[in-house]
Amino acid sequence: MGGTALRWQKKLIFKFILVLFLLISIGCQTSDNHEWTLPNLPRPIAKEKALITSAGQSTDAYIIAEMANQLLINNTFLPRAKETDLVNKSSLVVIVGYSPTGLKAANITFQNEKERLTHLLDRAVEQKMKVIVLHIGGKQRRNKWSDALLEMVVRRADYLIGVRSANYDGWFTKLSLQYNFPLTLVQDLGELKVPFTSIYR
Amino acid sequence: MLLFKLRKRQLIIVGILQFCLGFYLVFLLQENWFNVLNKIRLAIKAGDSGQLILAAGATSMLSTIQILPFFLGTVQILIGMPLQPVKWSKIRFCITLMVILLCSWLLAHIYGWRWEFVSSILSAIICLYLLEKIPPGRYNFWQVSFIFIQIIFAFQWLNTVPFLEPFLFGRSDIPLSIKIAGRYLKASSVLNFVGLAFCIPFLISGLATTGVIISSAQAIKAMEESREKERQLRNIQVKALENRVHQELHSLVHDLKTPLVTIQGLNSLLTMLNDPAKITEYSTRIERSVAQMTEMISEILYDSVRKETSVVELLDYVRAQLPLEDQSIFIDIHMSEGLPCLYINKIRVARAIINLMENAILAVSGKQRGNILFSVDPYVGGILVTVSDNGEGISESALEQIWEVGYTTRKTSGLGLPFVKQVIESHGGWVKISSCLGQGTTVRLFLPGINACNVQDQAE
Repeated sequence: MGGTALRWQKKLIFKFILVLFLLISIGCQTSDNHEWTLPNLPRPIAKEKALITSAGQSTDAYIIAEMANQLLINNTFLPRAKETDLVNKSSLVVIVGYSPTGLKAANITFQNEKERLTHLLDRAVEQKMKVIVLHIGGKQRRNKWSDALLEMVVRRADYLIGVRSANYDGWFTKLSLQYNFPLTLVQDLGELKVPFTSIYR
Repeated sequence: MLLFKLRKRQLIIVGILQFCLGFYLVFLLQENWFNVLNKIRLAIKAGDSGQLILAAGATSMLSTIQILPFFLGTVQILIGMPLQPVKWSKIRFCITLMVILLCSWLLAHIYGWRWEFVSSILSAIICLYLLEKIPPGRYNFWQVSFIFIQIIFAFQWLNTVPFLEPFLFGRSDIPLSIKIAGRYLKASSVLNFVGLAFCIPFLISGLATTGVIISSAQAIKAMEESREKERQLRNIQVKALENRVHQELHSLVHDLKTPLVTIQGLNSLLTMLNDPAKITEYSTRIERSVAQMTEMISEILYDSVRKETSVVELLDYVRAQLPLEDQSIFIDIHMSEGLPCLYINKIRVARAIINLMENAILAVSGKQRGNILFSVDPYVGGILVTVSDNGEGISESALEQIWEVGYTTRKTSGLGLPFVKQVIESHGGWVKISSCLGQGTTVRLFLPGINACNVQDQAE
């Protein structure tokens, strides 16, 4: 009796693990997408001083701000920048990445964030500023909220840099073609410095 | 049953309270999650992977604290742990697993995070599997909590291991932020190492804790079983002793018949007699018989009653009681001259000697010619009674146990020899057995003589 119970338990656990790995392997398959990308920009498109801000309040924006400092790109980092912060700035860098904890810590809702970005982008376009968009979270940072923010931001984008794994469904390529902006996809964050520098130098 | 129902109801209430605590923790831990976020930001700014490891540790700890009440609450409500045994049926196992996973999903939904289903499923399966292994009623809430904490904590660490990302570990907000920051700081290998370095020992520790609880529970169970066996054995011994007492009483009451028959016979003669001399003689004999009965009753009732008895008198009494129906058994009785008088409880000592004789008769019964030698010789101021037989004998190992109450080799009560020893020792004597397997047994019994008794009494 005990032996039978043990057997079915083992079988059940085995089945669970098997199904889990099947799901994972299906999930891990990347589609064969035709990418239309650049390794970096052939010539600079934006001028300093840059305003770096976050779309979704993830910590990814802090990485880009730190990278800009290391690359000696004159910048101001304001994760919750408003349109008034665009004064005396020549370009706008938006790092997309939805973080519910980041939003709660900033005491704002997703809707507030979208409204802030709409106003900011509108003013940036008004001031004829270059808008650079970065998505560095990879495939795991792709979710309906991040995608909604990215779709909203790339309409005004002049350049998009992303991590290759995030373009598993070819969506970045599609956006690049749809809104006609150059796209650079890097393998990992270490490769990000070259295309990012190429924006200004 | 009522107590069980009451306790089960209490467990359900505790389980529900744990669910409430789980939901309350969402608000209580919010500040702590913000602190973790600040640690990640600080790590990025300072380029300090140490802060990132601290953030990973805090994430695992907070996630464990957050999910634990749901695990325990579900188990308490659905299983009634720790009151009843956890025996999984397929449906029960699946329902419990589903409820735990549903709670975990709900929690992720409240936080607005992606659900960490891989770590949740694995930790839930292992926790439930280990729970069944612990014997029922042998564990308490804190022990189960301790096991659950270790298993959940171990799997939460895997969420911050970057190389497990393709296997859908660490999809929620904070673990993902840690891993992205780790990639930027080139600290992925450090996070891999630290995550596994914490996960594996905690997993092993959880399994070891379960093992310790199981083995200690088994030890306690074995101890209780042996105690129960001892109790049962004691009961059997008491019952056997009662039987023995009954047997002895039966023999003793039978002994009382002799003076009674004398009284009855003499009394019936009295009615027919006219001769006053005869009447006086018979009355005196009746009186003697009544006195004899009174003495016997006293000796039966009180162990301490002693009187001066000659060896002949004792042996006559013994001889009268011996069952000697078997024609193949020859009893050789030898009595030396000049034996001292004894100061004994005749009935009890006689019963002890009869016991030895009965043993000897039993030992030789079934043999073609059974020889029993019964001798009484003077020995250091007393008498030495020797009972030898040519029976099967007793093995050396059995000889060591022969005086223990309840020990027997013949499906008897096992109380005979302990009774003999007790009676003889209470008279200041001793009893010894020597035996050779296949050749026979010899029992030597010493009783002090009346002078030795007096010396002993004076010394006391």
